[in-house]
Amino acid sequence: MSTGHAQTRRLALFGTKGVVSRCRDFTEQALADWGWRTTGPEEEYDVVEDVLLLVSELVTNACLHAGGPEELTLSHFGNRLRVEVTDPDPRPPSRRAQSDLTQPGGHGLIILERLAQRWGSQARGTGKVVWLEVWLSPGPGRPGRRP
Amino acid sequence: MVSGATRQSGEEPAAGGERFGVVTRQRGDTVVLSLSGELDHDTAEPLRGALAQQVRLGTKRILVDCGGLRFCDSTGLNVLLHGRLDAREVDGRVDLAALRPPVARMLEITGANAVFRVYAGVEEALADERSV
Repeated sequence: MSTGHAQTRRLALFGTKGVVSRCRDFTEQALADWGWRTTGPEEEYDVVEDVLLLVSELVTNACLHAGGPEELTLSHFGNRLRVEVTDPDPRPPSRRAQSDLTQPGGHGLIILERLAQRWGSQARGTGKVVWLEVWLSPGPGRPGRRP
Repeated sequence: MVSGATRQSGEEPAAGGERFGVVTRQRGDTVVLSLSGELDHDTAEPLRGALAQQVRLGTKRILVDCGGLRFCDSTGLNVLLHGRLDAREVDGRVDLAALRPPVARMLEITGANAVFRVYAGVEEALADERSV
């Protein structure tokens, strides 16, 4: 694993058909190339699965609420992974929490809050970027991990 | 035991592509929907169609067999929650069985594992007479 400088991969996206699974495949390949496995010790396996779920949620949100994702960027610095999804809609994502868990909707936000170390959005060009960060490697006190 | 196995792909067989499949089987009074692959925004339509069909038919118990489901995100969960609410309208229920670790974890994180009755396997679910 690189520790000194960031490694970055970008995937340009067009339309919404099939993009969610394509982004997961792209992410899974990048994590494998960066030394993260989808099999092996449970700890690492879970981190990869968590990242794939988070990528799915960000990209789906852009498809449903923000005019479709334009680009997925993965940046790997040391033990940290940053995921960015750009879209053409300048409005920040809703942080509406769902209080009734039996009702559809709002669960993607719960996943983001629970599994991402931190996340947010900022204006970029005429649209925005929604980003999140996850600690990839084992280390003390990784928030966002299973309690 | 297994009768009437049909592949449900909604109106458009290609909708789920090779990434997702749902097979419907009648098992006594229960209809088992066996899922395979990855359930997300790209592939949700066949499951939405299969659940809606069972609700239209007035099926009292729909058991979603997740044994072949490798991945499910909040969009997939929403389809299951909608199916559950629609089934309740006709006095039916939706139960889940055979969750793989990534799917079980997603349900645990979102709290949805408390919304559904979750069984270790299909046979355990079918043997539970509370639900029939």
